[in-house]
Amino acid sequence: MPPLLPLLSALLAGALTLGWLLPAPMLNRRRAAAVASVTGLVASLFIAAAGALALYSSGFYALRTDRLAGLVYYDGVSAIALTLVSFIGLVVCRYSLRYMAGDPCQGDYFRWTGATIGAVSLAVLTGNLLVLVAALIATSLSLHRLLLHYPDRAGARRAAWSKFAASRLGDVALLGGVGVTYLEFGTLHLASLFAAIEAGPASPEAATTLGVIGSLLALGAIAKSAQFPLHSWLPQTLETPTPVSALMHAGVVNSGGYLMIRMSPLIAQAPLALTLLTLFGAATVMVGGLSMVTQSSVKRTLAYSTVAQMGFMMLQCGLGAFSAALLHLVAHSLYKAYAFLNSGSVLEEAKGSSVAVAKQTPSHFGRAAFLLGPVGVVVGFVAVALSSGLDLTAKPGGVTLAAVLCLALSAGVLEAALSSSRVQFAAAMAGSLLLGGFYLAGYMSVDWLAAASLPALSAPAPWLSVLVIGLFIGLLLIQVAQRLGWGGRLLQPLYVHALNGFYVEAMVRRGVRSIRA
Amino acid sequence: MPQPSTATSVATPPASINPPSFSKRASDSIRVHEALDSVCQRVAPVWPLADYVAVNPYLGFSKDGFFATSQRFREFSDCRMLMPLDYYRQCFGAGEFDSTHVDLAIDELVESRVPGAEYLTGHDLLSVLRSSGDDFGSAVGRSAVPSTRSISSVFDQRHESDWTTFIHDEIGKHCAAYYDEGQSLWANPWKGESLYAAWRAAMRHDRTASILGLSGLGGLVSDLPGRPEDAVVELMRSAGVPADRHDSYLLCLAYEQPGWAAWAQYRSKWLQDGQSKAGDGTGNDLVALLAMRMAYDVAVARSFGFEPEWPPADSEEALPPGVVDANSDVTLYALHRANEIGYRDKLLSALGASLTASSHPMRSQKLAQMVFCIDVRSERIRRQLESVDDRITTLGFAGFFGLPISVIAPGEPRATNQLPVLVAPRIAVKEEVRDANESARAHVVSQRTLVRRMRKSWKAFQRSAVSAFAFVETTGPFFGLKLAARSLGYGATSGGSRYDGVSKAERDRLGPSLTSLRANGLDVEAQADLAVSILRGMGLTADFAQLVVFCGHGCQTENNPLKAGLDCGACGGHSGEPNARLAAQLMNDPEVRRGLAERGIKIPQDTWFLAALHNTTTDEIAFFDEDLVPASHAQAIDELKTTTQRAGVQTRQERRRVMDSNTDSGMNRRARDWSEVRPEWGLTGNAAFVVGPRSFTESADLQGRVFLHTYDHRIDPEGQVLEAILTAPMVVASWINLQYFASTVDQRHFGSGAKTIHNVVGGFGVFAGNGGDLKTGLPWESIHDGESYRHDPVRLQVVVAAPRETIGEILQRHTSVRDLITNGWIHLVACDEESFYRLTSNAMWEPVPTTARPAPSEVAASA
Repeated sequence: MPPLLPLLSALLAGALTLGWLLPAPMLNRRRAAAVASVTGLVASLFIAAAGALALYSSGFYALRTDRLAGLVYYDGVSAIALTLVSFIGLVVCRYSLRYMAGDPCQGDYFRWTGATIGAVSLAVLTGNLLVLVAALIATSLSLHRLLLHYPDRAGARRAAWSKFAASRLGDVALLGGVGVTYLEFGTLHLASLFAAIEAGPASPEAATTLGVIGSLLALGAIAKSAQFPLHSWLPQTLETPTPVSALMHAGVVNSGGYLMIRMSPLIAQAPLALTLLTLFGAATVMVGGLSMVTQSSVKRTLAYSTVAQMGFMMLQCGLGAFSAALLHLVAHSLYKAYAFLNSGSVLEEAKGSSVAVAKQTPSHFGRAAFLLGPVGVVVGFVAVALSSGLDLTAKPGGVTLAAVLCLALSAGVLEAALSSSRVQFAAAMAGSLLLGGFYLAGYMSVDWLAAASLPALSAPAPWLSVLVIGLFIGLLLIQVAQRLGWGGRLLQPLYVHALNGFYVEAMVRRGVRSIRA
Repeated sequence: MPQPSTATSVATPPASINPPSFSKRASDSIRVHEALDSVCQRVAPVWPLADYVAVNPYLGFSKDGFFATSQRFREFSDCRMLMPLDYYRQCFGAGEFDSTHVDLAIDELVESRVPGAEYLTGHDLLSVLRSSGDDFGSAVGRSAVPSTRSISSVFDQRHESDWTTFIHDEIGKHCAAYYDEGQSLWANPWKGESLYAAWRAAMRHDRTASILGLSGLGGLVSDLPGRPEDAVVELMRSAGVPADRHDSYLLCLAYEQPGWAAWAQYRSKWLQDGQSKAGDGTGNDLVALLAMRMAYDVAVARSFGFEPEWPPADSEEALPPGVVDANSDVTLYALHRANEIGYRDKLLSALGASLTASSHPMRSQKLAQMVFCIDVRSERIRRQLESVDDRITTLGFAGFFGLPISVIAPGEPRATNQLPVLVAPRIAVKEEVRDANESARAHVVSQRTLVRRMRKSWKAFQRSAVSAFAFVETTGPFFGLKLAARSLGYGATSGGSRYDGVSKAERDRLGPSLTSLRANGLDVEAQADLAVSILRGMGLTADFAQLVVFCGHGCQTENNPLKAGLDCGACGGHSGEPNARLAAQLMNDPEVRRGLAERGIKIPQDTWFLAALHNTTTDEIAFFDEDLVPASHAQAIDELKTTTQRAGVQTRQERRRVMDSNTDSGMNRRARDWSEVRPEWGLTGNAAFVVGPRSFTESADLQGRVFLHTYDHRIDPEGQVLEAILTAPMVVASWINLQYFASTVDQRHFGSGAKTIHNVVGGFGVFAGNGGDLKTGLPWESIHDGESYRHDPVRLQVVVAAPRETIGEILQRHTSVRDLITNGWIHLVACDEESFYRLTSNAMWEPVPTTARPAPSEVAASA
């Protein structure tokens, strides 16, 4: 059966990107029409995408390798990503109806919102590597206009242009990667490329070329997905309306990760690329994670959180855990879109967790719980995994990521142990088992949909696993030390540096254009 | 007293190249301290978002005239106090005022000795109004650049650099981190110290300035003295600010970042050790903020070898007669005043007509007396209620119903102040489940504690650097469902935690407990005294209806950090529900009623006091504690509910025009929609405060622009009630009015800008975008609908129906209130013997000139 719905989606996405051609004054004059047509198109796109996903998961669409696949490459990966992007897009459009009401440039705003959603969707759907990269560039340029929605704000201009610079760096790497790919394979059709790669490199030279291509694409993705040290633009982009942040953090910034997952058959053949992804990802997790916990404004916390999460996604790709990365991409997008759109409720939420707490002295129970909790978490998680029939050791990066998950759940349990409340500790233990179950369920669903398009890899280099686990143990130690007030002398400077995002923003600013012009 | 710093940093004495003589130093220091004191008197505070109340940002200038203040601002900042010319042209074009008002305005300006006013003529101003564009250039006016500026901004202008913005971002960063009340999981390690000490400690490690090329800041900061006052003295010397500019320079720095200055002021003067103060706290955070700002200024000067000059202040050149400068302040001020007089005229003629119409039926049989807050939003619903059922009369009284309380919810760490911020709370009232036994109440507390602790751990799990990834991957898919629900208007989160730990059956009974009064030392006698003062204050001492309703108000809005600004200002930016419920319980208490009878207020047996809440977003009215109502009143209550529903429908219909809504359901949608930036218009449009009997306002459609306070001077011969009204509610109304005024005329300094980029900081304030200054005041969306201004910035027009003599005596006793009027922050008109008199800037009574408006006496004659 020809993939009619994916083709329709591509048409709708194309129609949205045509917004580029319309003059802004006309759009702003006929605000209602612009708003209605963009929202209508995005809604149709979502309906088509959801329908296509349903059909795909019931096995209607076989993976194609013909010429049609050069136009629309529809598989589990693109099915999931398209549904996600169009859903977030629809939510953002609905939100902006009222949120941007009365803005004299609302028409223009919707045009660029639509164009961004359309371009991302095209990037997701296309079966041609060059079109994919071109669509990503179009996405970035459309988003640029949204970042400049308040062009009079100096902060908005600075953020938009630093993002512009980082993205163009990424574009250079990506286009380089596309060029070398064409020279090597003589085609840019994904289906043909993947078929050619599946056999593995024929010669050491071919392996080197694959390494070059993989690394170029990885570097491009690193630049596009706000990885350290090119992340500093992301926390600066709060000068743009909230729904744009939602769209950016839930849709656009994932483009690098999506590219890695999409091209994973190729990336998997380039060990250097995998190492790069793991190292940059790990560094980004550390910088983003520590910066995140010190920020004092809600949106900046969320922005640094995205940086860290993007790092984690890249790290998962680097470990070869592409299914896990795809789950992360989806889950993070949904969470972050909600968190941004709901960021005005932060006071209500604070009210909901304000409670008079008596000073607690750690009880015997608390001490015991502190030591035994993490053990329980590990045992429980492994038990749940085994009973669900998932062999962690068979999945690339499985053990490493399971260890990271257990560390995280342990952190939650330790927090409950500190409260010395038995009920709370019991709830935390049960909760961590439940969360472990959720994780496995999510992972298995994504893996079931997308595994056919993702490469099977051997385990990552041991030193990378050790590095990753070490990183998370380090983060946990810092958290526990900070929570218990240990090591003040060491932690105070770390706090200040983290608050400043480790000065990356300042260094970029100094490098690009000093304040003293 | 300045608090000694707890900093343990290296406090080496600063190396001074030419140590001035001791006496010179001492006199310098005294002068700087004087300037500091004066600046600390000037800056108005801002409240945290959760308790947000409107504050008059010109509070510290009210001893000076309005126009003089606008001129003073020009010396050190680009703050504006008037609208641009185009605005007044539009008002004139729309018929808001006419040539007679212009003439009257000029006369008033001359009377209050506004410099340059004597050269204005009505003819010239009309030609300014009727022309368009820049026919009248501002070539003659003085330059827009203030004569006293920060060193960094002078440097920036000269070198096209951006240090001032950088400095504001840095100060914003430090203040946000220091004052953060729980946004960051990893809190500032120096929170326990003073702002100044915390900043210095952080600056030992902070490399931002040096990376960006501002060298020497770290050394400069570590060499500063341990007390911020001393630091200011020393930095003032280093900066080379001339002695006669100390004051202006400090004001300049404070008003460069009016938000943080206001917050520091709040933390110093209105809060102490977690207790609210009435402006008399002893902190020195503002001094610390100024010291911090000065350090950056001095660092810029030193780092770049820049020596700032201090040019003499230029004064506006007096124009020769016959030449009019369309954009000069005095021209704009005259037009501004003309616009205000235009409104006064309309208001007074509406009141005059109402006063003499006396066509309203005698309300013989009374169903209910409903007491509403003076809030302008009560005006519409009161009018509609009375029109639906003529057995209902309404009254206006400050919405905290005279109860100086703070309310502590079960298991919560902090009490909520439910009274105007000008008053310190006297009674701590517990919220608890009525008619529940001790163990049931303890159960509520323990359940709530558990639920909230778990939420807290869950939040920590969500946000910590170790577990944030796991949180996202395990729960992310559920957020997809939440996104869908919220987009469709389901799953509202606002107010969700109020009933934590309270079972469904108990919810209606969760409210303020009357027994708390006794626990606070108020015995029956004291309670009766309190009840008397409340009833006297609202003029309700006889002729009680079967039902007396205390109707507080609150808004309903989702995902809106500025919610408190739409709640009841008289209740400290909260819903008026607890006050209404407590007041009703107090009045229903048999012992209190006995005490009231002893004090001369006889409440009939069959009068029942009922508490209600007016939802100002949807205009629905909800009633409380209905289970307590005697069966004999059931029918009356049913009738009242039918009436309030119908009145609600009519009020919504009336509001459709201003809400751009075609349907009733539009209002309900706004209340639940998480993407709504204009749930309601709040107090936008507020313009007047009318003190008088309801007959004075009854038949006038005041369009939701007027605060209404019930008052009858015939039962207040001594003027005690009026004294309370003029010194408290009127001042609060003026704060609100000037807050809206300032946010409209100078959105950049005193407004909070576009809501779309608001970013809640530290749980107490908002940033616009990334950071920088704390934003205060109304957002753009609250005063403008995208096409035009919804708030007309006019100063509060107070109309008091009372003898001039009584008013005059009260003002003589309260000079600060009199200053507000004679200095032009409030306009006061008395309605005495059926004529209107205005209080001039010389504190004289003058008949209000009649223009198009018939005088009340004329209306009476013709009727």
